[in-house]
Amino acid sequence: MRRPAPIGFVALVALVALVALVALPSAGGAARPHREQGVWEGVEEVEVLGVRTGRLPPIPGASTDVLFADDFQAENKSLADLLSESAGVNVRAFGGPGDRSEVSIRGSTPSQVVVTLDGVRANSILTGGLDLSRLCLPLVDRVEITRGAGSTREGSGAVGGVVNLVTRAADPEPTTRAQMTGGAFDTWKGSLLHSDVRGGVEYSAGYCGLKTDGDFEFARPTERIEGVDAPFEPDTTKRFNNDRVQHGGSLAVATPFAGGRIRLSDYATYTSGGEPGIDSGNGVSAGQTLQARSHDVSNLVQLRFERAGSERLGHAFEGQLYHRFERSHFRNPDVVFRDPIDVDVRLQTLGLRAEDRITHPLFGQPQEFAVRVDASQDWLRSSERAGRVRPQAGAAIEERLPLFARRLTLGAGLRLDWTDGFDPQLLPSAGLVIAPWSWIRARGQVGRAYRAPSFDELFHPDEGFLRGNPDLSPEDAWNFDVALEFDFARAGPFTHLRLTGGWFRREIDESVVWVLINPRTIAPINTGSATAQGFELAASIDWTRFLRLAANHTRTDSDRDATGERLPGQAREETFVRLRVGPEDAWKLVAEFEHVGEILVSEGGSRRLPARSVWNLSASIDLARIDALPVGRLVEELWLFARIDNLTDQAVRDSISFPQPGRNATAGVEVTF
Amino acid sequence: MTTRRGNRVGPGLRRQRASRVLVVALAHGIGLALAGCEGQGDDGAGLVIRNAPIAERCTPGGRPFPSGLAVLSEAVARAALVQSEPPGLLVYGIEAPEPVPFTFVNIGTDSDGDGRDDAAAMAEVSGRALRPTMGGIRALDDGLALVSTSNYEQVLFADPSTGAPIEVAIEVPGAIPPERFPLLPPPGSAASRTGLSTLACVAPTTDVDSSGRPIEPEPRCDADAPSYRTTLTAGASVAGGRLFVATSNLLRGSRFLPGTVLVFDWETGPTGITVRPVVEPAMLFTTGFNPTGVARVVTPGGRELVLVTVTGVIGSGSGAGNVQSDAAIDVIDPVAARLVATIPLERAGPAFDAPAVDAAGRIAWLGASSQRQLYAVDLRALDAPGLLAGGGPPVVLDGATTGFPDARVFDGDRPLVLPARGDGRAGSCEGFTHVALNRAASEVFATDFCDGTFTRVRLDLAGDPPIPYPRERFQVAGQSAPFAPNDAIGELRTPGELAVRQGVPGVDFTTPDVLVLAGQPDGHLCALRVESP
Repeated sequence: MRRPAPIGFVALVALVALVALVALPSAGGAARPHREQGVWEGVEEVEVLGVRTGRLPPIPGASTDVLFADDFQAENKSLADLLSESAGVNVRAFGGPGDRSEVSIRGSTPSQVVVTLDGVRANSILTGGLDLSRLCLPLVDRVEITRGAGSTREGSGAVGGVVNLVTRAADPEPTTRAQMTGGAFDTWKGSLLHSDVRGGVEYSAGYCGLKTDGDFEFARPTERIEGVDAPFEPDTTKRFNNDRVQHGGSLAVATPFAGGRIRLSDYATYTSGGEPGIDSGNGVSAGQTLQARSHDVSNLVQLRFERAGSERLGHAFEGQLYHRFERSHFRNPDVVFRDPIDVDVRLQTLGLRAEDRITHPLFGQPQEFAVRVDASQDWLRSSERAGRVRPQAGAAIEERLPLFARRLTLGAGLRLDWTDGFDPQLLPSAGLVIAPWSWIRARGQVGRAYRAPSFDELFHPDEGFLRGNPDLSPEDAWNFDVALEFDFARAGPFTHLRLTGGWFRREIDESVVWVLINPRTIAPINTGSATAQGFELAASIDWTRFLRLAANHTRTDSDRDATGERLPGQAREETFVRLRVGPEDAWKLVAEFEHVGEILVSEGGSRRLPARSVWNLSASIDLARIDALPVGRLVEELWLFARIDNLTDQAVRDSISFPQPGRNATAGVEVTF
Repeated sequence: MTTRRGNRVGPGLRRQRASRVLVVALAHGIGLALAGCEGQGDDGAGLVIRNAPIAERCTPGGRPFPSGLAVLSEAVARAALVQSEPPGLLVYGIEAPEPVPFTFVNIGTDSDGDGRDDAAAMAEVSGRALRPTMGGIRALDDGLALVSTSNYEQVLFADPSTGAPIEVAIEVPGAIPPERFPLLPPPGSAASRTGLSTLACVAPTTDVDSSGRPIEPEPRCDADAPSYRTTLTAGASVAGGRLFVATSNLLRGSRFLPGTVLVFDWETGPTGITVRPVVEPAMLFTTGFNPTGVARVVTPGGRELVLVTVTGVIGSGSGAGNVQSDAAIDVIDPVAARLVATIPLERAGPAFDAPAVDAAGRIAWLGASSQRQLYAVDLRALDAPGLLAGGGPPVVLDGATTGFPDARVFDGDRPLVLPARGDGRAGSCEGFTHVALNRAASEVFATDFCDGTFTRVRLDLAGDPPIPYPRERFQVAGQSAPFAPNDAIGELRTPGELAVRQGVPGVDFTTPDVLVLAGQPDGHLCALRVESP
């Protein structure tokens, strides 16, 4: 369906132009070096396949990717888009722009992935998961993904892995970035980020916002039962009550302090919108809730102190004190056979963590030994349930020993983790990296992980048909993976060729699943042991600087040990291909292809969402790189871009009752000065 | 680490061409964005959810928990399953080792055929745009079934052998107050419909609900007195030239308003069926809360009566503690449209089904909603002289009413407890049973939602023993476990409603003789070969 051109787009472009003009005096034409934050300082740099340069987190043998937001500049990507391009990482979307999306790694549940923001856990303490749509990619510098490891560092929850979002730090030169996009479903996005260093004080401030009507049309599912089709009426309809307004902001100040560097940062989000619920039943409204609304506010403030080690002892210290607040209000006056819903939940976490890293020689090699301690306390207050307080603490040691001129690196870690209400857990891990030549690397790691149940799983109020289960045990898992990586600086006609193949396996016990425990009550239970295993293949080929082809394929087999039945919710096969044509610093045409295999809808798998293949296209050009235009003298970069998602208009769903948009287009402008 | 930014592209023809191409492409892209470029996501093969069986003797039935099952005669050899999502009837052929899907008919957006969208019509009269939620089905014969729906309260008429809707004439007498049935044709008029609205105003005879709280006036019924509108249309049946429809009248949570059975005249003529609301009494109040199943019975003495399952208040859990008030089977004289008797079941918390009655009208069985047990009543008690006489309160057939026998064989105090599954697995689910009688009334079959068992109970109805039947005449004959227990995540489990084919196994047909609905992980219709006579 076509709609009239949004008049607001003209205003949008004008606004960006205005921002550019206002900031002109500080515009600098020189290219800026890409600045690294101190999180992984002192750690070796490695090429990460399928993406650009990254750094290996200090978990020897672990499977990692580092995705730089700048590599996807002027493509109008969201954080969910970025994550879903990585092998082994699956993003489950529950709608279109501004709608909920969750990350899973190697078949995990969302609550089995720890998502951190600058190293501080951002997962909801209520549900354990995290809505990726609440985080704004323009304020993020890079995304660090660790698959099947990280529990030694993060403790409870890192069963599938860890995703760390690193917000943008100040550039050495005054820098302002602005982006505005507009397009389908009356969706408008904008961001503005400014940073500078003055008098030794680094600061950055950013804002991003989204407004959408979210009223996309969608095709409804047809149940096919042994050749007989059971369709809904009508077979297409529209998402109603799906509007959303979202604001996010970041603020960071850093300054030298006591021989080190102290940084105060804050990340806040506000979101408000309709909650249309599930697609069900006949009729144009398709069973959607037309009056349900939610309002969420969250804030994460942290104070971090880093001090590099003295040359003699090699100590490097890092300490963090943080506070996280989240308030969620959900209201639905239109319910049947129960009282109207009006729930207000407030969550807080206050925590601290400290790490001391000591580097000293052993066998002529710099051995790295790290000690970490952390403690935090969660508070839950809610209008619908009793308040809860839950402290947790952990202590960990990590050893990293490079040998034979780094041809062999051994690593081991051990964490003692405690969550109130559960027994202390010992989380050992070990890793091995063998790199006999620069072009080949073999790695493997093994580690134990666990997850303490969330507040909701334990204490969801008894609503009759839904309640928590205070008798739950923690989920308990072992992760194993091995991989072989090849990296050729030049191979035949290619300027760069990188290949990776890896196998992984996770054995998990006591998985927590919400099920119907009796004819009328849904509650979480521990479901015994299950296994997920598979392989990840990734390749990246550069042919001159004008062409890059990156592809990855993930196969995930999972089953419950007792029944052999596959676990639902994720496709067995996922393939992603990205082709970029053009020098990405001037212009680029990007084609992306994603194939997702059949997704089991339910435990047991008698119903399956169909496999799908989706194409996305984008075209971007930096007008500042065109000599014939005077733009380059005014700003460092001025990108114009357009993007079409789901080009062939496929019916896309990750969950049976939550439609995603068909073909949709956006256009925008991005400026840096 | 290298820096992405830096080298500028030098001037040159190739670059100029590339830039031109880019600008053109961008112009197109921006144009598309400006134009909205919004697809419906309906290209390609569409969004077809593939259903595949996960057990050998079973065929998928769509989404979890199909809400009703009717098995037709051997003449058509079909079964109709009520599917909630999409809402409609899924018809199977049953002349194969497992059911074979034949057709699906969606009830549509104007399910009652009044020419208005259901939700719009409901919004007009109640302020809420509610659509039908599918309920149970009762096949009156191979060509006509009654299908209950709630939220949009009604009874649909459909051909269970094809799923097709059937039109009936609905006449509303002029004496009916206009507010009583807001979605029926206006009083004094008639219309052809495929559904009979059961949204009705109720003027209760008590002024408190099941929680003891006062019943507020419903302004759209009677602003000055306790009143309410019917909710949760449940069972329906035709007897004595009348249609009886039970409405549970759930308020919210576990709070029930007094239960009602709506009464309609039912005429079958050469041009079809005519349904007419009875002016007085428009409805009957049941002796307890939550009337659900409705069954027609002809007693051994030839009395045609209507049995109504009255479950009492059931909580949202499982086990004996989930049963919050007494249950009963209420007995209606269809001709007089009067509640003539009630058979107390104490704290039984029966299943929501209609009583399973043998063809000779001697005994009726019920499953249990919260425990692994069964209940039975001796219907010979309904032949007691004087039962239909007078116009007083219903006779209580508990043995304490002078001149009337105790009809109870198994009740809440003395249930027939089914044996536990051999491997003892059922998690925290303590039982939810459904029953069906075989053709010869020599056995009753019971499924248990919780532990997945199928139990055979042998019946001895021979002779004319004293009322009620001695309980020793009913013995558990065997148990199998064709379904997984409820806590076996991923396996086919939670068996529910079941039905027995009407012919003689091995004579009239050679395929399985018992059909069972399984609810999880997705709905399935399963065929069991029991081959009881």
